[in-house]
Amino acid sequence: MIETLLAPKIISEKSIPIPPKLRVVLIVCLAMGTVLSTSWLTLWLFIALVVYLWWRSDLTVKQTIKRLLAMDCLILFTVALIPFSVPGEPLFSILSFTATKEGGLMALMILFKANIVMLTVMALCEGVDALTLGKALVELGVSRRFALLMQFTVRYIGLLYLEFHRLRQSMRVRGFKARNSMHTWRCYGYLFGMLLVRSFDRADRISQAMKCRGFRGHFLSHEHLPVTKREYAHFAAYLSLICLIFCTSLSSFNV
Amino acid sequence: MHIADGVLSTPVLVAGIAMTLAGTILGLKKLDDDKIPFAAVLSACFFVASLIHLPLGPSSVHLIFNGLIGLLLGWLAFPVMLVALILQAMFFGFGGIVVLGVNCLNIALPAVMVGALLRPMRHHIPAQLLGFLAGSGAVLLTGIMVSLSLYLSGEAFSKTANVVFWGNLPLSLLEGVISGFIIVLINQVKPEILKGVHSNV
Repeated sequence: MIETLLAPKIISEKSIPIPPKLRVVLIVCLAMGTVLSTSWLTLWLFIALVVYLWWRSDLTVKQTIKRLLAMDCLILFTVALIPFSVPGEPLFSILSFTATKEGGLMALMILFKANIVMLTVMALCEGVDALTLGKALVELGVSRRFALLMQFTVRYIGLLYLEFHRLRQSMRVRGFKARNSMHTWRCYGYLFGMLLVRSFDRADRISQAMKCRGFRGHFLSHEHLPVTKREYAHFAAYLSLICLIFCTSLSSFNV
Repeated sequence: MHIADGVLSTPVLVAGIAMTLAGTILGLKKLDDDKIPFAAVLSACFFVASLIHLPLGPSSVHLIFNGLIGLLLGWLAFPVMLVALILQAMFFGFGGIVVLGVNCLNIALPAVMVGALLRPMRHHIPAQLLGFLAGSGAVLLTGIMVSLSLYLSGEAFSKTANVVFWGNLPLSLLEGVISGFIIVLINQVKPEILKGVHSNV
Protein backbone atom coordinates (compact mmCIF):
# COMPACT_ATOMS: atom_id res chain seq x y z
CA MET A 1 0.00 0.00 0.00
CA ILE A 2 2.75 2.40 0.93
CA GLU A 3 4.29 1.89 -2.52
CA THR A 4 1.50 3.99 -4.06
CA LEU A 5 2.93 6.92 -2.15
CA LEU A 6 6.64 6.40 -2.54
CA ALA A 7 7.12 5.11 -6.08
CA PRO A 8 8.15 7.69 -8.67
CA LYS A 9 5.50 7.97 -11.36
CA ILE A 10 4.92 9.61 -14.70
CA ILE A 11 1.66 10.66 -16.25
CA SER A 12 0.83 8.27 -19.07
CA GLU A 13 0.40 9.34 -22.69
CA LYS A 14 -3.21 8.21 -22.67
CA SER A 15 -4.18 10.51 -19.79
CA ILE A 16 -5.72 13.95 -20.32
CA PRO A 17 -3.00 16.48 -21.22
CA ILE A 18 -3.14 18.62 -18.10
CA PRO A 19 -0.10 19.36 -15.89
CA PRO A 20 -0.13 18.39 -12.18
CA LYS A 21 -0.84 21.87 -10.80
CA LEU A 22 -3.96 22.28 -12.94
CA ARG A 23 -4.98 18.73 -12.06
CA VAL A 24 -5.03 19.73 -8.41
CA VAL A 25 -7.32 22.67 -9.27
CA LEU A 26 -9.60 20.35 -11.25
CA ILE A 27 -9.78 17.85 -8.39
CA VAL A 28 -10.77 20.58 -5.93
CA CYS A 29 -13.40 22.02 -8.31
CA LEU A 30 -14.89 18.64 -9.13
CA ALA A 31 -14.96 17.65 -5.46
CA MET A 32 -16.65 20.91 -4.49
CA GLY A 33 -19.19 20.60 -7.28
CA THR A 34 -20.03 17.05 -6.21
CA VAL A 35 -20.31 17.83 -2.51
CA LEU A 36 -22.48 20.90 -3.02
CA SER A 37 -24.88 19.42 -5.57
CA THR A 38 -28.16 18.02 -4.33
CA SER A 39 -29.77 16.57 -7.44
CA TRP A 40 -29.40 13.04 -8.77
CA LEU A 41 -29.11 14.22 -12.37
CA THR A 42 -26.01 16.26 -11.52
CA LEU A 43 -24.45 13.35 -9.69
CA TRP A 44 -25.04 11.00 -12.65
CA LEU A 45 -23.43 13.54 -15.00
CA PHE A 46 -20.47 13.86 -12.64
CA ILE A 47 -20.18 10.08 -12.57
CA ALA A 48 -20.09 10.02 -16.37
CA LEU A 49 -17.32 12.63 -16.39
CA VAL A 50 -15.29 10.85 -13.71
CA VAL A 51 -15.63 7.47 -15.37
CA TYR A 52 -14.33 9.07 -18.57
CA LEU A 53 -11.36 10.53 -16.63
CA TRP A 54 -10.78 7.13 -15.06
CA TRP A 55 -10.87 5.46 -18.48
CA ARG A 56 -8.25 7.91 -19.72
CA SER A 57 -5.98 7.14 -16.74
CA ASP A 58 -3.90 3.99 -16.55
CA LEU A 59 -5.74 2.46 -13.59
CA THR A 60 -6.85 -1.14 -13.88
CA VAL A 61 -10.35 -2.24 -12.87
CA LYS A 62 -8.97 -4.48 -10.13
CA GLN A 63 -6.87 -1.72 -8.56
CA THR A 64 -9.74 0.72 -8.68
CA ILE A 65 -12.33 -1.56 -7.15
CA LYS A 66 -9.95 -2.67 -4.41
CA ARG A 67 -9.27 0.91 -3.34
CA LEU A 68 -12.88 2.04 -3.63
CA LEU A 69 -14.13 -0.90 -1.57
CA ALA A 70 -11.59 -0.26 1.17
CA MET A 71 -12.93 3.25 1.61
CA ASP A 72 -16.57 2.26 1.15
CA CYS A 73 -16.39 0.04 4.23
CA LEU A 74 -15.54 3.13 6.25
CA ILE A 75 -18.31 5.21 4.68
CA LEU A 76 -20.89 2.47 5.16
CA PHE A 77 -20.26 2.71 8.87
CA THR A 78 -21.00 6.46 8.76
CA VAL A 79 -24.17 6.16 6.70
CA ALA A 80 -25.50 2.87 8.10
CA LEU A 81 -27.61 4.57 10.75
CA ILE A 82 -29.04 7.33 8.54
CA PRO A 83 -32.02 5.34 7.16
CA PHE A 84 -33.14 4.80 10.76
CA SER A 85 -32.72 8.45 11.81
CA VAL A 86 -34.57 10.29 9.02
CA PRO A 87 -38.35 10.44 9.35
CA GLY A 88 -40.43 9.47 6.32
CA GLU A 89 -42.11 6.63 4.48
CA PRO A 90 -41.21 3.32 6.21
CA LEU A 91 -39.28 0.84 4.08
CA PHE A 92 -38.44 -2.07 6.39
CA SER A 93 -37.77 -2.57 10.07
CA ILE A 94 -35.22 -4.45 12.14
CA LEU A 95 -35.94 -5.02 15.85
CA SER A 96 -38.47 -2.21 16.13
CA PHE A 97 -36.16 0.26 14.32
CA THR A 98 -37.75 1.42 11.10
CA ALA A 99 -35.75 2.39 8.04
CA THR A 100 -37.29 5.07 5.83
CA LYS A 101 -37.13 5.60 2.09
CA GLU A 102 -35.92 9.20 2.49
CA GLY A 103 -33.15 8.09 4.82
CA GLY A 104 -32.09 5.32 2.45
CA LEU A 105 -31.90 7.74 -0.47
CA MET A 106 -29.88 10.20 1.59
CA ALA A 107 -27.41 7.47 2.60
CA LEU A 108 -27.14 6.36 -1.02
CA MET A 109 -26.46 9.91 -2.17
CA ILE A 110 -23.64 10.31 0.37
CA LEU A 111 -22.15 7.02 -0.78
CA PHE A 112 -22.33 8.21 -4.39
CA LYS A 113 -20.73 11.56 -3.63
CA ALA A 114 -17.87 10.01 -1.65
CA ASN A 115 -17.17 7.53 -4.44
CA ILE A 116 -17.21 10.21 -7.13
CA VAL A 117 -14.66 12.27 -5.20
CA MET A 118 -12.49 9.22 -4.57
CA LEU A 119 -12.54 8.15 -8.17
CA THR A 120 -11.70 11.72 -9.26
CA VAL A 121 -8.70 11.80 -6.98
CA MET A 122 -7.56 8.37 -8.16
CA ALA A 123 -8.01 9.15 -11.84
CA LEU A 124 -6.34 12.56 -11.80
CA CYS A 125 -3.57 11.69 -9.33
CA GLU A 126 -2.53 8.62 -11.30
CA GLY A 127 0.98 9.37 -12.48
CA VAL A 128 1.53 12.23 -10.03
CA ASP A 129 3.92 11.28 -7.24
CA ALA A 130 4.24 12.97 -3.87
CA LEU A 131 7.24 15.10 -4.85
CA THR A 132 5.47 16.36 -7.96
CA LEU A 133 2.45 17.14 -5.82
CA GLY A 134 4.65 19.24 -3.51
CA LYS A 135 6.04 21.13 -6.50
CA ALA A 136 2.55 21.62 -7.95
CA LEU A 137 1.36 23.10 -4.65
CA VAL A 138 4.23 25.62 -4.64
CA GLU A 139 3.34 26.61 -8.21
CA LEU A 140 -0.22 27.18 -7.02
CA GLY A 141 1.02 29.62 -4.40
CA VAL A 142 1.13 27.39 -1.32
CA SER A 143 3.83 28.39 1.18
CA ARG A 144 7.30 27.11 0.30
CA ARG A 145 7.75 25.76 3.82
CA PHE A 146 4.56 23.76 3.58
CA ALA A 147 5.70 22.10 0.37
CA LEU A 148 9.12 21.44 1.89
CA LEU A 149 7.45 19.87 4.91
CA MET A 150 5.48 17.66 2.56
CA GLN A 151 8.56 16.56 0.64
CA PHE A 152 10.47 15.77 3.83
CA THR A 153 7.46 13.91 5.21
CA VAL A 154 7.26 11.68 2.14
CA ARG A 155 10.93 10.83 2.55
CA TYR A 156 10.57 10.00 6.24
CA ILE A 157 7.45 7.90 5.75
CA GLY A 158 9.50 5.41 3.78
CA LEU A 159 12.31 5.42 6.34
CA LEU A 160 10.03 5.16 9.35
CA TYR A 161 8.08 2.33 7.83
CA LEU A 162 11.26 0.35 7.17
CA GLU A 163 12.56 1.10 10.66
CA PHE A 164 9.25 0.02 12.15
CA HIS A 165 9.42 -3.28 10.34
CA ARG A 166 13.00 -3.87 11.50
CA LEU A 167 12.08 -3.26 15.13
CA ARG A 168 8.89 -5.27 14.80
CA GLN A 169 10.79 -8.17 13.29
CA SER A 170 13.32 -8.19 16.10
CA MET A 171 10.43 -8.30 18.57
CA ARG A 172 8.90 -11.22 16.71
CA VAL A 173 12.20 -13.10 16.73
CA ARG A 174 12.15 -12.80 20.52
CA GLY A 175 8.73 -14.43 20.57
CA PHE A 176 6.53 -11.33 20.87
CA LYS A 177 2.90 -11.82 19.98
CA ALA A 178 0.34 -9.00 20.02
CA ARG A 179 -2.44 -9.67 22.53
CA ASN A 180 -4.85 -7.64 24.60
CA SER A 181 -2.47 -7.15 27.48
CA MET A 182 -0.52 -4.43 29.22
CA HIS A 183 2.67 -6.16 28.09
CA THR A 184 1.69 -5.75 24.42
CA TRP A 185 0.83 -2.10 24.89
CA ARG A 186 4.03 -1.39 26.77
CA CYS A 187 6.03 -3.07 24.01
CA TYR A 188 4.24 -1.04 21.35
CA GLY A 189 4.76 2.14 23.37
CA TYR A 190 8.50 1.49 23.62
CA LEU A 191 8.56 0.52 19.94
CA PHE A 192 7.00 3.83 18.87
CA GLY A 193 9.15 5.72 21.38
CA MET A 194 12.31 4.15 19.98
CA LEU A 195 11.09 4.90 16.47
CA LEU A 196 10.70 8.56 17.39
CA VAL A 197 14.06 8.82 19.14
CA ARG A 198 15.91 7.24 16.22
CA SER A 199 14.01 9.35 13.71
CA PHE A 200 14.82 12.55 15.58
CA ASP A 201 18.50 11.65 15.55
CA ARG A 202 18.27 10.90 11.88
CA ALA A 203 16.42 14.15 11.16
CA ASP A 204 19.17 16.04 12.94
CA ARG A 205 21.91 14.31 10.97
CA ILE A 206 20.07 14.89 7.71
CA SER A 207 19.50 18.57 8.35
CA GLN A 208 23.18 19.04 9.26
CA ALA A 209 24.31 17.16 6.16
CA MET A 210 22.02 19.25 4.00
CA LYS A 211 23.36 22.46 5.50
CA CYS A 212 26.90 21.30 4.74
CA ARG A 213 25.88 20.94 1.12
CA GLY A 214 24.55 24.48 1.00
CA PHE A 215 20.83 23.82 1.42
CA ARG A 216 19.02 27.14 1.71
CA GLY A 217 15.43 26.12 2.15
CA HIS A 218 14.42 24.92 -1.28
CA PHE A 219 15.24 22.12 -3.65
CA LEU A 220 16.70 22.99 -7.01
CA SER A 221 14.82 21.57 -9.93
CA HIS A 222 15.90 21.45 -13.54
CA GLU A 223 12.59 20.68 -15.06
CA HIS A 224 10.63 23.85 -15.33
CA LEU A 225 7.99 23.12 -17.90
CA PRO A 226 5.78 26.05 -18.82
CA VAL A 227 2.12 25.21 -19.33
CA THR A 228 1.36 25.13 -23.06
CA LYS A 229 -1.66 26.69 -24.74
CA ARG A 230 -3.02 23.23 -25.52
CA GLU A 231 -2.89 22.29 -21.84
CA TYR A 232 -4.63 25.51 -20.84
CA ALA A 233 -7.30 24.87 -23.47
CA HIS A 234 -7.96 21.37 -22.12
CA PHE A 235 -8.04 22.68 -18.58
CA ALA A 236 -10.53 25.41 -19.51
CA ALA A 237 -12.70 22.88 -21.32
CA TYR A 238 -12.86 20.50 -18.36
CA LEU A 239 -13.44 23.36 -15.93
CA SER A 240 -16.36 24.70 -17.95
CA LEU A 241 -17.77 21.19 -18.23
CA ILE A 242 -17.69 20.88 -14.45
CA CYS A 243 -19.39 24.28 -14.07
CA LEU A 244 -22.00 23.32 -16.64
CA ILE A 245 -22.78 20.05 -14.88
CA PHE A 246 -23.00 21.87 -11.57
CA CYS A 247 -25.50 24.32 -13.08
CA THR A 248 -27.95 21.45 -13.60
CA SER A 249 -28.13 21.25 -9.81
CA LEU A 250 -29.03 24.92 -9.31
CA SER A 251 -32.74 24.37 -9.86
CA SER A 252 -32.85 21.98 -6.90
CA PHE A 253 -31.60 24.61 -4.45
CA ASN A 254 -34.43 26.24 -2.57
CA VAL A 255 -33.39 29.86 -2.80
CA MET B 1 -11.98 8.98 12.37
CA HIS B 2 -11.95 10.18 8.79
CA ILE B 3 -15.17 11.74 7.61
CA ALA B 4 -15.77 11.19 3.89
CA ASP B 5 -16.87 13.79 1.36
CA GLY B 6 -20.58 14.30 0.97
CA VAL B 7 -21.45 13.69 4.61
CA LEU B 8 -21.17 17.09 6.27
CA SER B 9 -23.29 20.16 5.62
CA THR B 10 -21.84 23.21 3.87
CA PRO B 11 -21.59 25.54 6.93
CA VAL B 12 -19.62 22.90 8.85
CA LEU B 13 -17.30 22.36 5.88
CA VAL B 14 -16.69 26.09 5.44
CA ALA B 15 -16.02 26.60 9.16
CA GLY B 16 -13.58 23.68 9.14
CA ILE B 17 -11.69 24.98 6.12
CA ALA B 18 -11.48 28.51 7.56
CA MET B 19 -10.21 27.39 10.96
CA THR B 20 -7.73 24.91 9.52
CA LEU B 21 -6.40 27.61 7.19
CA ALA B 22 -5.93 30.00 10.11
CA GLY B 23 -4.25 27.32 12.24
CA THR B 24 -1.96 26.28 9.40
CA ILE B 25 -0.88 29.85 8.67
CA LEU B 26 -0.15 30.38 12.36
CA GLY B 27 1.74 27.07 12.49
CA LEU B 28 3.80 27.83 9.39
CA LYS B 29 4.82 31.18 10.92
CA LYS B 30 6.36 29.29 13.83
CA LEU B 31 8.00 26.70 11.57
CA ASP B 32 11.62 27.79 11.06
CA ASP B 33 13.64 26.08 8.36
CA ASP B 34 15.61 24.35 11.14
CA LYS B 35 12.50 22.73 12.51
CA ILE B 36 11.22 21.33 9.21
CA PRO B 37 13.02 17.96 9.45
CA PHE B 38 11.68 17.39 12.98
CA ALA B 39 8.17 18.41 12.09
CA ALA B 40 8.39 16.10 9.07
CA VAL B 41 9.46 13.18 11.27
CA LEU B 42 6.36 13.61 13.41
CA SER B 43 4.17 14.04 10.37
CA ALA B 44 5.57 10.81 8.95
CA CYS B 45 5.09 9.14 12.33
CA PHE B 46 1.42 10.17 12.32
CA PHE B 47 1.10 8.76 8.82
CA VAL B 48 2.87 5.48 9.56
CA ALA B 49 0.91 5.02 12.80
CA SER B 50 -2.29 5.08 10.77
CA LEU B 51 -1.05 2.06 8.81
CA ILE B 52 -0.28 -0.02 11.91
CA HIS B 53 -3.12 -1.86 13.56
CA LEU B 54 -3.05 -2.86 17.21
CA PRO B 55 -5.36 -5.40 18.80
CA LEU B 56 -8.03 -3.92 21.08
CA GLY B 57 -10.73 -6.25 22.32
CA PRO B 58 -12.17 -8.25 19.46
CA SER B 59 -11.14 -5.77 16.74
CA SER B 60 -8.05 -3.76 15.89
CA VAL B 61 -7.47 -0.01 15.87
CA HIS B 62 -4.77 2.39 14.79
CA LEU B 63 -3.23 5.13 16.88
CA ILE B 64 -3.58 8.83 16.09
CA PHE B 65 -0.67 10.34 18.05
CA ASN B 66 -2.20 13.80 18.05
CA GLY B 67 -1.64 14.22 21.79
CA LEU B 68 2.02 13.41 21.39
CA ILE B 69 2.38 15.77 18.43
CA GLY B 70 0.64 18.57 20.32
CA LEU B 71 2.91 18.01 23.30
CA LEU B 72 6.06 18.14 21.18
CA LEU B 73 5.10 20.71 18.54
CA GLY B 74 2.28 22.97 19.76
CA TRP B 75 0.83 25.06 16.93
CA LEU B 76 2.98 23.26 14.38
CA ALA B 77 0.46 20.42 14.75
CA PHE B 78 -1.75 22.08 12.13
CA PRO B 79 0.65 22.04 9.15
CA VAL B 80 2.04 18.67 10.29
CA MET B 81 -1.39 17.02 10.35
CA LEU B 82 -2.51 18.75 7.16
CA VAL B 83 0.49 17.41 5.23
CA ALA B 84 -0.17 13.85 6.37
CA LEU B 85 -3.91 14.12 5.69
CA ILE B 86 -3.35 15.54 2.19
CA LEU B 87 -1.01 12.65 1.41
CA GLN B 88 -3.55 10.15 2.76
CA ALA B 89 -6.39 11.70 0.80
CA MET B 90 -4.45 12.01 -2.45
CA PHE B 91 -2.68 8.67 -2.50
CA PHE B 92 -4.77 6.30 -0.41
CA GLY B 93 -8.21 7.83 -0.87
CA PHE B 94 -8.83 8.09 2.88
CA GLY B 95 -11.19 10.93 3.75
CA GLY B 96 -12.04 13.42 1.05
CA ILE B 97 -10.94 16.68 -0.49
CA VAL B 98 -13.49 19.27 0.59
CA VAL B 99 -13.73 17.69 4.03
CA LEU B 100 -9.95 17.96 4.58
CA GLY B 101 -10.44 21.17 6.54
CA VAL B 102 -12.81 19.58 9.05
CA ASN B 103 -10.74 16.40 9.32
CA CYS B 104 -7.59 18.38 9.99
CA LEU B 105 -9.30 20.65 12.51
CA ASN B 106 -10.75 17.67 14.38
CA ILE B 107 -7.30 16.19 14.87
CA ALA B 108 -5.04 19.23 15.11
CA LEU B 109 -7.08 21.50 17.40
CA PRO B 110 -7.16 18.90 20.23
CA ALA B 111 -3.41 18.49 19.71
CA VAL B 112 -2.83 22.23 20.14
CA MET B 113 -5.15 22.39 23.15
CA VAL B 114 -3.50 19.44 24.88
CA GLY B 115 -0.08 20.89 24.10
CA ALA B 116 -0.98 24.31 25.52
CA LEU B 117 -2.38 22.74 28.70
CA LEU B 118 0.29 20.14 29.38
CA ARG B 119 3.52 21.74 28.17
CA PRO B 120 3.85 24.04 31.21
CA MET B 121 3.28 21.05 33.50
CA ARG B 122 5.70 18.65 31.83
CA HIS B 123 8.39 18.90 34.51
CA HIS B 124 6.00 18.69 37.43
CA ILE B 125 4.11 15.49 36.74
CA PRO B 126 5.48 11.97 36.14
CA ALA B 127 6.24 11.08 32.51
CA GLN B 128 3.74 8.24 32.36
CA LEU B 129 0.90 10.45 33.56
CA LEU B 130 1.94 13.23 31.17
CA GLY B 131 1.82 10.84 28.23
CA PHE B 132 -1.46 9.33 29.33
CA LEU B 133 -3.14 12.72 29.76
CA ALA B 134 -1.82 13.96 26.41
CA GLY B 135 -2.75 10.83 24.47
CA SER B 136 -6.16 10.10 25.93
CA GLY B 137 -7.12 13.77 26.27
CA ALA B 138 -6.39 14.56 22.64
CA VAL B 139 -8.19 11.49 21.29
CA LEU B 140 -11.15 12.14 23.56
CA LEU B 141 -11.38 15.72 22.27
CA THR B 142 -11.05 14.47 18.69
CA GLY B 143 -13.94 12.07 19.27
CA ILE B 144 -16.06 14.89 20.68
CA MET B 145 -15.22 17.13 17.72
CA VAL B 146 -15.98 14.42 15.15
CA SER B 147 -19.34 13.75 16.85
CA LEU B 148 -20.01 17.47 16.99
CA SER B 149 -19.29 18.00 13.30
CA LEU B 150 -21.66 15.12 12.47
CA TYR B 151 -24.27 16.40 14.91
CA LEU B 152 -24.15 19.95 13.52
CA SER B 153 -24.62 18.60 9.99
CA GLY B 154 -28.18 17.54 10.60
CA GLU B 155 -30.60 15.49 12.65
CA ALA B 156 -29.91 12.46 10.43
CA PHE B 157 -26.45 12.02 11.92
CA SER B 158 -27.35 12.27 15.59
CA LYS B 159 -27.32 8.50 16.08
CA THR B 160 -24.03 8.11 14.22
CA ALA B 161 -22.56 10.94 16.30
CA ASN B 162 -23.50 9.06 19.47
CA VAL B 163 -21.93 5.84 18.24
CA VAL B 164 -18.74 7.66 17.25
CA PHE B 165 -18.45 9.27 20.67
CA TRP B 166 -18.93 6.07 22.69
CA GLY B 167 -16.89 3.93 20.32
CA ASN B 168 -14.06 6.40 20.69
CA LEU B 169 -13.70 6.01 24.46
CA PRO B 170 -11.77 2.68 24.50
CA LEU B 171 -9.56 4.05 21.73
CA SER B 172 -8.81 7.09 23.83
CA LEU B 173 -7.77 4.89 26.78
CA LEU B 174 -5.49 2.74 24.61
CA GLU B 175 -3.89 5.81 23.04
CA GLY B 176 -3.33 7.20 26.55
CA VAL B 177 -1.68 4.03 27.82
CA ILE B 178 0.62 3.72 24.81
CA SER B 179 1.47 7.44 24.76
CA GLY B 180 2.36 7.09 28.45
CA PHE B 181 4.94 4.43 27.64
CA ILE B 182 6.24 6.45 24.69
CA ILE B 183 6.85 9.49 26.91
CA VAL B 184 8.48 7.28 29.58
CA LEU B 185 10.93 5.97 27.00
CA ILE B 186 11.63 9.39 25.48
CA ASN B 187 12.11 10.84 28.95
CA GLN B 188 14.77 8.22 29.71
CA VAL B 189 16.52 7.97 26.37
CA LYS B 190 16.38 11.48 24.96
CA PRO B 191 14.73 13.88 27.41
CA GLU B 192 15.76 16.95 25.40
CA ILE B 193 13.00 16.16 22.87
CA LEU B 194 10.44 17.09 25.51
CA LYS B 195 11.97 20.55 25.88
CA GLY B 196 10.82 21.30 22.36
CA VAL B 197 12.25 20.27 19.03
CA HIS B 198 15.43 21.92 17.88
CA SER B 199 18.64 20.89 16.25
CA ASN B 200 21.73 19.97 18.27
CA VAL B 201 23.80 22.40 16.25
